[in-house]
Amino acid sequence: MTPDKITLLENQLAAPLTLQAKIDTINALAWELRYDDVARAIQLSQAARELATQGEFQAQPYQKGLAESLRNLGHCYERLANYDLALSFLHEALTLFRAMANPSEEGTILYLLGGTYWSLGDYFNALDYEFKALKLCQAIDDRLGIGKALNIIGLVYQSVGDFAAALNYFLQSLQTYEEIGLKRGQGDALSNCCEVCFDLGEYDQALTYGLKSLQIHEEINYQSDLGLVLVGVGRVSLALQQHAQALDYLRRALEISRETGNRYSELRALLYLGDIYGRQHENDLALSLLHQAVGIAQELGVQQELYECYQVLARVYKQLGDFEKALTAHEQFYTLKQKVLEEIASHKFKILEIASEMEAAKREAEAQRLKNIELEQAIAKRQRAEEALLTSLHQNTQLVAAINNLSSGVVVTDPNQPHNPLVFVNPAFTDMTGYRPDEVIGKNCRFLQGPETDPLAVAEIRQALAHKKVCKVTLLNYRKDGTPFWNELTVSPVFDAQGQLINFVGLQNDVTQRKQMEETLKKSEDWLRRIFSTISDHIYVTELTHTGQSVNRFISPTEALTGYPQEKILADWDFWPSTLIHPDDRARAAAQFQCFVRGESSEVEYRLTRADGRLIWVRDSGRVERDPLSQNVIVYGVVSDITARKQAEEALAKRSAELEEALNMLNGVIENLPAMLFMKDAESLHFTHFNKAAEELVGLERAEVIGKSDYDFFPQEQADFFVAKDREVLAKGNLVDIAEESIQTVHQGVRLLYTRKAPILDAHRKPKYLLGVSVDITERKQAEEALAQARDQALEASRLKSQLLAKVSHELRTPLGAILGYTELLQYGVFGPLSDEQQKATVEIIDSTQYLTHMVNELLDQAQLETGKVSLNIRSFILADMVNQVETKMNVLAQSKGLTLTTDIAAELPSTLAGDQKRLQQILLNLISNAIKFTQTGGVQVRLYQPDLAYWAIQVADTGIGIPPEAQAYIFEPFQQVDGSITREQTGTGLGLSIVKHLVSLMGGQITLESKVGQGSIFTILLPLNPIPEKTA
Amino acid sequence: MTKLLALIVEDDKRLAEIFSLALQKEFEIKVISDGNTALALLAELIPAVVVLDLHLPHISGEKILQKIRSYEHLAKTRVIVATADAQKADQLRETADLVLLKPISPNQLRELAMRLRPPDTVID
Repeated sequence: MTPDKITLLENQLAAPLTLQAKIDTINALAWELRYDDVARAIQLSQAARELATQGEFQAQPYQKGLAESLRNLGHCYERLANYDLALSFLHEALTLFRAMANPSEEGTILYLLGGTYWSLGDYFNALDYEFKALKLCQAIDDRLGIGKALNIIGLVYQSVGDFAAALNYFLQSLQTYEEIGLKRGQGDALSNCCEVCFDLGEYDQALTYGLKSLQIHEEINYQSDLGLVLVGVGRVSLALQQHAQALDYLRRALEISRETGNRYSELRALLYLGDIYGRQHENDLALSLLHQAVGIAQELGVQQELYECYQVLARVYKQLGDFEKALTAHEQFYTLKQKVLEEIASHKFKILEIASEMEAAKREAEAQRLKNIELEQAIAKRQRAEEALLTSLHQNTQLVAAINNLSSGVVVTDPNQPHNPLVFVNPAFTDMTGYRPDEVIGKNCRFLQGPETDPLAVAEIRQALAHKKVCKVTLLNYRKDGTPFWNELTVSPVFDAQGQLINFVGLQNDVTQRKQMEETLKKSEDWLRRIFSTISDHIYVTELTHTGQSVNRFISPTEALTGYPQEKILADWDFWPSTLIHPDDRARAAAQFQCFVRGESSEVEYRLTRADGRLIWVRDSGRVERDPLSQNVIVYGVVSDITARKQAEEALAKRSAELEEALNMLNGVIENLPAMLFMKDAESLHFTHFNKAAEELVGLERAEVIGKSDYDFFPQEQADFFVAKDREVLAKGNLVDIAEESIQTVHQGVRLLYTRKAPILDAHRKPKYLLGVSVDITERKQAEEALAQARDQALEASRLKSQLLAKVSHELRTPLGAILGYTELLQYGVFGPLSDEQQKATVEIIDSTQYLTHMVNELLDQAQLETGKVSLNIRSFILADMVNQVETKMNVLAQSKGLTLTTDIAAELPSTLAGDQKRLQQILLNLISNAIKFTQTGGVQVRLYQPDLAYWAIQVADTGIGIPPEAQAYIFEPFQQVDGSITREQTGTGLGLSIVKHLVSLMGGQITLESKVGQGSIFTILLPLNPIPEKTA
Repeated sequence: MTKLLALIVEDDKRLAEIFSLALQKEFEIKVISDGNTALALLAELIPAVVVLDLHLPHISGEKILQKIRSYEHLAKTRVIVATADAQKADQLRETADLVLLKPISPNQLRELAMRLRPPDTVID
């Protein structure tokens, strides 16, 4: 135990000793060295065993020495994990010590045996021997033995998963060691307490025990188990998330384990280090450590650590994305764990039997011991509590394993106890909620509820519980640390064979992530909905399966486009193709669908009849993709309203047609225009158009002309002229008239043209063409010239006639003057008195002379009026005076024929007018004398009046013979009279009305005639009311 | 009592005679048949009435009328244009005191000449 003791023993060995003493000393030394130097201890023990059975002890072995050496060997081999050998030595030793009736050693061997069986996993025998050891040691009050036995019993309970019981025994063991002050034992017990508290999930407590244990181990510098203690503390630190400390402990543990050759602690150190590195995503390092650990675990045959290795490995592989390896590791983990659990289950059952047997025996012997009573109660309680679970474990251990390995939380409550307390929770529940089983067993589940938990969901669960029904709710629960999580909870009642409710089983899944995703999804759906509500396009996703089914995977709102709600479209697959689409367009839409079926993208345009009856054009554009897994065709489609575009297209087509029509019309007009029309390119001045009239005029076919210039057809000088004009037109930008231009034609010689040239502008207001329109004015020109000549001649003739008339009149006047003069002188008796006959003759001569004079005057007037030599002498005059003078003159004539002459001046007429009084009198005299001349009975009426503001009128009406209609047309021409039936009395020059008409025209007026043969005539003259000249007013 | 002087400028002898006969009772008649002589006489004589033809040898009637109108001493002389030229007759209506288109009635001429005669020309 201590170096001093070993040194002492070694010194004793060095001294001469009796063989027995030597054997005893060797055995004592080996015993002391069994922990620190197992190899030497074995060597020494075998030496002692030989000494005790050979030589002087060959016949009769030295019993004590042999037994002790066997005990040593057994213990040493147990330490070396060679349990079979250890068992055979220990059983031999037990037989010998029993034979020697050495209860103290027997107790030692018993607990060593129990320990070995425990190491072998034979918990039945382990517990059997340990309870025997405990009983024996208690009987002889061997505290060390008691401590040892309690410790191993604890280990057995721990191994079968009854951690609470295990802790109880370890604490008893610790207490015992403390009573005897055995530090190493205390260290062991504390280390075990640490481990079992870990198993119970009480990590803080575990850390306390672990650190105490570590302290003791370091204190006594006990290297051998230090590795394991450090592993324990490291594991607890790991569970407490204190990774830095955990790493520190576990690295030390690995180092020490390797130094001391403790493979088991090395394995565990590697396992937990691997776990930490895995958590820190140092995957390669983790894998390396874990594979070492697996090697050792397989070598040592420790199943639990092995499956733990696989469990961590599976996690690391999963982290690496190597799911195949992860799956393999997980399968290995699962198989092993299942096997271990099955073993545990079978052991546990036996153990309980033993325990109860032991307790029954103990009750008889040690009824007064409180500890045992408590133990019994504890066992009895556990027996009851776990009866159902054990039964099901027996019935289906796989199920239990599955439950413990389920990622879903499983809780079991007992509705037959008050408040329906929890009787079972699986590890996943702890992972999910943070509550260890011991914290929640016996409590009602409501501790999971919190402030935000929906009371309705809770009520639903209560309702289900009350009615023993299955229910599934998702509600917000709270972890131990207060953080909320979404719990998808399924509660099912469990009934026994008799139909009695025995449990409720709750299956819990943390769906927080899913809930969050749902929220996100809901939000994004909301966004999508908003987006779709802002666009009028309709979007659909349709999946076409192998079996020819079409499934709408998604459709956006259709209300804006079609006027029908989305639900209507979704509810009836045929509604769109066979109701919405215009009947004439359905074939087209069906063809598009066939394209989709073949896996081809397609775009078509068709009409839809909206809910309001309005017809719209849409473009249905579907892009096709194949689902990589199902190979189904998925169509991503957009349906857009293109009515406006269609209308624009139609308008454009209509416009184009109109344009074409207009162009045809224009071409027709151009082609059939009886004028030459040509167009030239504004740049090159090459002909671009040349119409039929142009072809005919110039004598060239348009095919010869188009594309060529003037220089190709006309003499240089002419072409220069044309081009110069063209350039002028284009430069000015407006039209130019060329009144006359001559052109050399092919068949018609030189022709004279009137040409109009104008620029034709393009859309940018730049000249594109030069337009020319030419009219052949050769003939017209000739005609005009002839006409002008004729007019000149006529004018000349007229001038000569007037000249002649003037001359005649002038020449006639002088002789007429002589005739008149002499006759008058005769009449007045200047040349002597005349007889009556002579007197009468003079009157006739004078009368004729006056007639001739009148005729000369009229001829002169006529001539002057015709040559425009008459000018009016406009002055103001008094109308009544003018009329009176005429009336006075004419009254004589009228009375001589027995006719009445009346004049009437309308009151509205101004008394003073402006005009040529003499000419007006001439007009009146002419008309009145004419009227008198052609009237036999009745009379002549003269009226002067004002028919409107601008004119005054003279009207002369008679009751004479009238003028026949055919004569009315020429009555105002000179030298015309109605017919030859006029009498001598009625003769006149035939110039009177012609002169009247000329004068009226000269005055700006007009004369009209109404007449009926036999009834009379009415001449009406309209004259403008001239302003009165100021000078004479 | 001295008769007023009537100057007849007329190259047609018959008409000159007729005008003379028409006016001889009231006027002292002086007949001249050409323009030059007429102008020369008019420088000295102060006729009360001039009967003036227009188409005259040497100097036209218009020219003579112009001269008469320019002479201070002939301010009271009345000019009766007697012409066969209707156009010229029209043109002279402003400057002549009277324009008569041939044929002219001797009675009418005498009456008009009497009417035109200035009242204060009645001298002894």
